[in-house]
Amino acid sequence: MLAKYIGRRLLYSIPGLIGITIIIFLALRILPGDPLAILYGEGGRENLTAADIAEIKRQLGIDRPLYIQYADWMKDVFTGKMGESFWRGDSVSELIIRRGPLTAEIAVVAVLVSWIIGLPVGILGAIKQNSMADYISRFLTIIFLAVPSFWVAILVVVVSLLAFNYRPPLGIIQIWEDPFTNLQIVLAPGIVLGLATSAYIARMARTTLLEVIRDDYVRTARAKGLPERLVVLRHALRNALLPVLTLSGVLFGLLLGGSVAVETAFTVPGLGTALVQAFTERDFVVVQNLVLLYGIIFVFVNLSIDLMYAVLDPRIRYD
Amino acid sequence: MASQADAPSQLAAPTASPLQRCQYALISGLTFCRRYPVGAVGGVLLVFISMVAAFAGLFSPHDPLYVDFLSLGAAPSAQYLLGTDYEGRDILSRIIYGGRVSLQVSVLSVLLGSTIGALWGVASAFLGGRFDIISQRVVEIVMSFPALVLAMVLLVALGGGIWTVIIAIAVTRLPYGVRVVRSVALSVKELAYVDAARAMGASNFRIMAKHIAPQCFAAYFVLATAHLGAAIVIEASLGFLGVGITPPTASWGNMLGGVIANTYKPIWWLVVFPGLAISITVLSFNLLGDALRDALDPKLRGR
Amino acid sequence: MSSMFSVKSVVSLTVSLLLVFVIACGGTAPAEPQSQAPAAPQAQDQSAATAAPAAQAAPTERPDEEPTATPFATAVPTVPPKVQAETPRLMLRAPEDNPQRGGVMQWAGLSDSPHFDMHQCNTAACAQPQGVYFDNLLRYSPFDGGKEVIPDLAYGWEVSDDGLVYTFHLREGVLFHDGAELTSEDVKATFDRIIFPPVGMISPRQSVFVAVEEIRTVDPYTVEFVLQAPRGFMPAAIANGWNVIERKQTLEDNNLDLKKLKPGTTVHPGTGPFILEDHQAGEFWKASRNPNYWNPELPYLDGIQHSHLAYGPATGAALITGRVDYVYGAGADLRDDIRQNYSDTHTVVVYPIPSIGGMFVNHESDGLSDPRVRRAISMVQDRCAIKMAVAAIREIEVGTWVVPNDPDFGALYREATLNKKPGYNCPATGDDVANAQQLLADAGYPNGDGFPTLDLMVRDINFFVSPMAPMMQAFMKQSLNINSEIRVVHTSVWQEDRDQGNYDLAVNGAPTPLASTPAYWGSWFYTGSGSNWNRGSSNPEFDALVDELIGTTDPARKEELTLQGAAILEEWTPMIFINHFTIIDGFANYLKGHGRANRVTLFNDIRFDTIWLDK
Repeated sequence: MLAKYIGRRLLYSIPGLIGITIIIFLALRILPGDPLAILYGEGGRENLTAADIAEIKRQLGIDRPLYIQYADWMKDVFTGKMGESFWRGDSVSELIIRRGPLTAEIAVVAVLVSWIIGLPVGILGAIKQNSMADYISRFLTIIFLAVPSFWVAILVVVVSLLAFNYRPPLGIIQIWEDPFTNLQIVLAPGIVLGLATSAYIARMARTTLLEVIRDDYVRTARAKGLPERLVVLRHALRNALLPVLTLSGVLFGLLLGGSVAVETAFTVPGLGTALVQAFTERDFVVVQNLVLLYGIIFVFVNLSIDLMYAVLDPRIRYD
Repeated sequence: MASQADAPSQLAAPTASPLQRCQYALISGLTFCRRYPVGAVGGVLLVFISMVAAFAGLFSPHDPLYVDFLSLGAAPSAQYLLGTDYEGRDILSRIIYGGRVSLQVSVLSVLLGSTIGALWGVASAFLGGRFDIISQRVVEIVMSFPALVLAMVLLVALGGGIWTVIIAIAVTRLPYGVRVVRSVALSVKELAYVDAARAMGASNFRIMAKHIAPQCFAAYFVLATAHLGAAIVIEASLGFLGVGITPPTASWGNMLGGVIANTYKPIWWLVVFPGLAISITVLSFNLLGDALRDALDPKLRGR
Repeated sequence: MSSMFSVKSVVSLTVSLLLVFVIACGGTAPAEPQSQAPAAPQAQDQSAATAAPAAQAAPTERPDEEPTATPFATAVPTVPPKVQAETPRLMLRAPEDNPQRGGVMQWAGLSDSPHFDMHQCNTAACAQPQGVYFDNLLRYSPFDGGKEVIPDLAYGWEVSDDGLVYTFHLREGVLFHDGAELTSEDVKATFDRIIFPPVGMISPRQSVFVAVEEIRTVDPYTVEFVLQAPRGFMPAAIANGWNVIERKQTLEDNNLDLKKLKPGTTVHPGTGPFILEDHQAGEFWKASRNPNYWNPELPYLDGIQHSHLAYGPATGAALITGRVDYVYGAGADLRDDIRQNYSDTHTVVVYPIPSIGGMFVNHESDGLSDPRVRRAISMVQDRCAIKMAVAAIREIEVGTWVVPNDPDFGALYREATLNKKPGYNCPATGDDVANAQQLLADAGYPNGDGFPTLDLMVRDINFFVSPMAPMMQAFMKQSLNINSEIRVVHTSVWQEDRDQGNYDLAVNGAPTPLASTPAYWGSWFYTGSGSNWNRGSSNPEFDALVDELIGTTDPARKEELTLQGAAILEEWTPMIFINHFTIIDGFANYLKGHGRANRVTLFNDIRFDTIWLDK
């Protein structure tokens, strides 16, 4: 029954993914400017004849009808090639393989931080409702919800340079090559992003926990004389966690988007900076594939959260 | 703040006369301020920020584009309260005029996105069937892009300019409007008086406009307020990444973007003040939004 | 087309004049470190190349009289090499007594090459990282900042008495990274491609070589350049860091297009001191020592890592925090910081590049067709304020019509900028503004009344978008009440709209292959020149003057013409000229074995073979 449910959920996500590809494809085909001018640099285009330009367009495949270009792209995506950078001729899938791990690490650090900080703060607020600790945590939550993470990132970068004469290592160093150097690259952006997300988690955890605590079975447990801490941990928390989990999935989109700006502020050579660079270079092959990747990741993260939900919460009906 | 389950959620009951509504609004406004002092503070701050932005010419001490070539990168002083940037332009005036742009963008984009979304949500809920299913799919697709990335794609495709930024951000706000309003509309649709209206031969459009849409207003209002802060942050991020409002027009985002792209040990007043402006504005929106949500629709809490 | 051709010849002629000077200066100014550094031989006493450096490097030197047998039969010369056993040839080594070997130098700067074909590329992003994989026929000395031309793959050269034939003698036993030996055929193929490019190939430095008629191989180690007319600057032009020697086989195998081929040991080999290990576009280049380098003393480094960083703040932070040893293209804030706070550990050098910045003018636009209007707009620009505002990103020189680093006319430049000429006062004086307002009124727009709002198109490069364009706009508005709307566009749109005349004023920078006042003029302001981006601008009087200036050798006449030309440009104001560009490099003081603190210009010293790390 569960397997059937999973299968159906997977099936449902397919039209969504196709829709994503169509939106990206169409949006990027109305770009202004002549991409050939970028390709051939300052003054280079003047030396090309009309025939040369036609030939180059043919080689790049941008002279064909849109639907064929789209079909080609889909073919590339399914074969995992994802085409080549319009500007540098480098394989986009290689780019993703090289830069993806950094962004993935940042996302993992951010999610961990958001839970490690957000959950205890939220729980504390709920247990000690209207205490001083609750007020402080709520105040901080509200502040962190308002402060844009990229600005915090800028402040961290500037302060660490001015005060400690420090900047993170250059280049892409993977965690399996040199964990210490790698962590210097990913930790700070991960924590900055995580702090921003932790505020949402804390608020959600507090609210749901407060609701659950008022529910009957918790009251029963409490009436049975179980210690308060145990009541919260054993009964209330489990049920309160599910909405937080769902929120985490929704927040993942915020996190992916935020990582673009935070990576840029920290000059981390991850997917986010690659995306920004591709945007400024109008490299639509890179842009369309990276944006697609972001969409796919988001869809699958939320799909797996839904499935986790189904496993964790027996009340969910599989239909 | 979170325990006011008894908050007045029955705003604008369908039977109230206009006068009663007015009275009610006034009373509930006062009640709101008394019950939600923090939210009221946010509201007051917002009124202040909006006034300053709206009458930027009165409040800003200088022309935001005026280049004082004798005071390039000058520290905060009596003449330039928040200092000048590397081009010799007054930071305070740029923050005020930038605030005008940022507020304009966020309010218009949220209004545009949420309104279209809300109308779509009402239609989707009321019409149901295939239209509803397709609508839900489309909403899901749009929601599966990170908002910032989607806005960037649209901006690169549409080109720069204040209206394209508004449209790009509006598109990212649209699905929330559809979702939230649709769920409210679905429950309203089942109410007896809608059936009654239908029995009396009212057209679909009339039922949607007269009976269902007003019931969704509270949800729409809460939603729009909640998203204003997000829109400000998206606008600022776009400006920071260099794809939003283009210089020399000031926006909070592009003020920060320029600093980071141009200097490795930036002067602090270029970094601190625009960021503070963003944070305080978003904070005010959030405070007001939270209070409004608690007051108008406890069911929406946490969304 | 005919006008284009004339421009090219104009440029090349002009360039020749400058280069004569460059060489003359290099020759007349004795190299200071001569006592300890190997002095590079002068072109004329080539045959008696210095013995000192060879003696120093002797123990490990491969004797020239014993041509190394290569394992590659095809590469074995069929004609016996021209033996010059009695004259040891220049083999560079670091000037210090005991250079240390080993270590990897971390370099950061612009290095996201658009492609791998040095001959076709005209951005620093190509030459900076790729230069280390190749050698040139001749090169600029790494010990004097790149002023003097010294032997490289050619150990010597002779010029015929009529100045029409240059004969270059190649070193024997030079191996490409794939093991094949260098012969004169490779040199010929390289320069044939640069000078006579096939259809569709872009050869940015072709114009310098227009006088070359033919390149002949005499034997496998001798190659001749035959000229139509004498050109004293030939060695300097050949030594340009871009003109790397490619293998003939590589060129033929790839239909003369190397854009997509990474420099590698097999498909695209060079002869250079380093071998490409790894490269990721837009990220880094990793080079390792070439163990079979023809100069056994070099290189000292085990490798170089070129990391790509954009111009400006990123490079500054990387250098100061010790992440890298050398940065290219830093901001003026780094320059000041190093001079004030880090002079013990770091050195910074500022040098000009042949490129200008400013507003190109559409002479066909309403209002802008009147030279008085253009002059008024130019006069109210406070170039010093712009220079200061820009300083955080990079250093610029305030622009006038003469070039600051021109050996002939630098004095003219200084005179113009020392608060003597209208429009170049810092800050702009009330007189300048009043005069400009009067000019505008004379043109029929008193107080800017009735003047159309101008479309100010800006290329979306940070530098232009953020400090420059808004300031120029502000000066027009504040001093002349001329309104304009800034339109920031991507490079591709900029070029398209420029070509179609879709602009009133257009902000960008424009490079030329080589630096000299007449070359600049021929390139940027000559009617119909490919780099004259001022639509519809034409001044026959000025064209005639440039034609004459290029052919003039008499210094007095040259100065007279230059002054006249500057005066014409001042009146005519074909564009709103703001600045000459400069580049800032910074490096750690433990980098030894170079003369980079005196660097004179770009692309003359990018090999890093004599550099060693003293730490």
